[in-house]
Amino acid sequence: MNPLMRIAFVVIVSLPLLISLDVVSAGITLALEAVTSPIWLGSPRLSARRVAFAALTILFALVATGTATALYGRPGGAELFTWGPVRITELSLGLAVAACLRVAALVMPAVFIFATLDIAELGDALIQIARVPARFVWGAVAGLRLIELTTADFGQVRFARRARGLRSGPVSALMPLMVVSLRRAESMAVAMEARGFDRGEKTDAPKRTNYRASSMSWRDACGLLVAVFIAAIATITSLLTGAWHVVLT
Amino acid sequence: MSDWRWMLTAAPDASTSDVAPRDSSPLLSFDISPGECVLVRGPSGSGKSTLLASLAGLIDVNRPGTGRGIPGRDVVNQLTVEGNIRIAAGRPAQGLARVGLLLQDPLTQAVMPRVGDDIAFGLENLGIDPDDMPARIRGALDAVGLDVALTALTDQLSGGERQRLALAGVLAMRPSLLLLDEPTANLDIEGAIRIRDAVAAAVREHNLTLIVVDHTPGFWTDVVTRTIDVELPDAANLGHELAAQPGWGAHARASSNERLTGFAAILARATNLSVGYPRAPRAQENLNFDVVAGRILTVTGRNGSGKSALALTLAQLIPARAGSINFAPVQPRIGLVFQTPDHQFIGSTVFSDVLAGTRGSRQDRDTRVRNTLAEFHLVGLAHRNPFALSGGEKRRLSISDVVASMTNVEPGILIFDEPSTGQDEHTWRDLVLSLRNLADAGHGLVVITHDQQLISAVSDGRLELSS
Repeated sequence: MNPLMRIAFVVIVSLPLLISLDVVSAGITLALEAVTSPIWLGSPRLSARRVAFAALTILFALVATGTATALYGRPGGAELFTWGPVRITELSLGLAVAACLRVAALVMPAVFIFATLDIAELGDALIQIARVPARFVWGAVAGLRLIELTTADFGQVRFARRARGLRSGPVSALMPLMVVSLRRAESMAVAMEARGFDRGEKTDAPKRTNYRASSMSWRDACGLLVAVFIAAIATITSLLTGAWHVVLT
Repeated sequence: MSDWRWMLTAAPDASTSDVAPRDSSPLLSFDISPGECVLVRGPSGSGKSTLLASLAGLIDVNRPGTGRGIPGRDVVNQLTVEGNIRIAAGRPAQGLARVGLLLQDPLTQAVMPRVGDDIAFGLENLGIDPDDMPARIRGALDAVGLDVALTALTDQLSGGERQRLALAGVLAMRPSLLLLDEPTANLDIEGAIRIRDAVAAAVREHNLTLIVVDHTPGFWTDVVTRTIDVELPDAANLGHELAAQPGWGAHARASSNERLTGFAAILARATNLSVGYPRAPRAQENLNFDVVAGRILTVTGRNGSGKSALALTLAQLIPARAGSINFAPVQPRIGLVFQTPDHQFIGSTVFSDVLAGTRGSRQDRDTRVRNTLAEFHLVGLAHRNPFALSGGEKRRLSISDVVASMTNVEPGILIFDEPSTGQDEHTWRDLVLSLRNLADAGHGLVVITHDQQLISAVSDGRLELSS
């Protein structure tokens, strides 16, 4: 699927879960996401390390949500365990299960999609499908690269300040880091401009072309249909079983 | 096709006419014919990078191909660039593709995460038909001898490979004028030679016009057809003169032979030392060497072989991964000159930056700073902001910072990570003498460098890091 449509897939599938907190809609969504994963995941370049990292991220989110809801969630029904402010009741335990399922259903596709997303392909999609101006898209992509460089610079600045006998707390390194990053940004901007970027408005230059065509195909349309289908099934089943539970009320 | 003509003058108003103002004491004036290969040399801070940027149309809002120079102005390094830049007549569409610029820093030249996309970036901007792109991308990669997949991540290339990728990105745009701004400054000797050979091949094959700024003497001799020397606008201000004759490294060597050969106290001894950045694989294992007072140890090795990690370990900024470093009973003061000068500036002026590292009474410190600034030709820049200096000047300032923090009373260990980057022949020779003076004063020096001339000029002992 097109990267942009993969993101749309996640958003559509997540909609019912953002409205309701119940076991049925969350469980159905999670199950259907897993079944349809070949559609929204495409042909991923997933390394074992990335999968492990994604799994850990999800696990962490589940443990945090589940524990908190079980211990401190709205009490109700039979009391199972009490200790100070901690009250585990049937209702809070039920809510914890629902919350876990919901978080899993929300986080799993997001984590895997962003782990497999090629930033350049997303850029192509934004420019060619969403019609975002190229200068903003590639400017933002360059900015992302700058974050990595800045992280490395941060370490070097702290080393350099320590080598000169200065305090090397994270705060005191911020000012020099800012100067260094601005210079890096400038250098990157010069490099981009030297390669003809963003000259279009100034000259009667030929229109910018795209190396990789980014388009929507029947796969994308099917993918979006599947997403709507999943959202619909989850919502309808949940309403029919009476489990539907709007969060904000 | 007519000639390229550049004229940079110091007079602000002379260039508003379409006629090149030859009578207004041009700072620099030269014509370059198509197919010429020119090496531009000049003192550090004389505006060579500015010159290239104006030629590339990045500073002067010059429209290549229109046959008219549009005057622009940019104040950089106290040099007012003012001038007419005329590039041979031609259709604007060709004009855009004409000038290709390769910059010094390999880190900031890759725009895209993947190799193929990165080379395509310039082609997209030129409006090349996407169907023609794969062939051009492959051709450019072949031309620079970079044998990696199109989907390879640019971040995972070594410094030399990144620089070749940047060159491929420029060559794919099929420029007729190629501008190179110290393209090999951060590369090991092998990487530098590969860049040079790729440039030479491209120049031959496509009959390119080449303008290259570089300091390494003799390195481009076989490629260039002539040399242009840029001079400073106010020569008295910085006291520069160009030593034009080759072989000045030998001169420095001869004078350094007169050094005192006193005691040889071991300031630090590395035993079975393994180094590497924290949370990264070990870069080097089982290193054994001594840092000896009065001697200069040069460290060489390819990009990524752990030289900078070794410097940080010696300076006790990161822990040794294995083995040990034993220091002399009186712990020597350690000074480290970082590879990127920007990282270590802490003052708002050159003077205060050097002052910050000194010790003693205020008067002693002032004297010390003045002497150091004079030694490294920075007196005229004392009140400038460190970040506003040129690349070569920053390098000298970062060396001054560390040199001024050393006293002649107690021996210290001075570690220099690429000290000769961006230096012209004059400042280079003075750098060699300064390094030798520091050693003669009883300090132990560790010099990490790719600069073969520097090694032969100062090395008392060598440490070669395997890759």
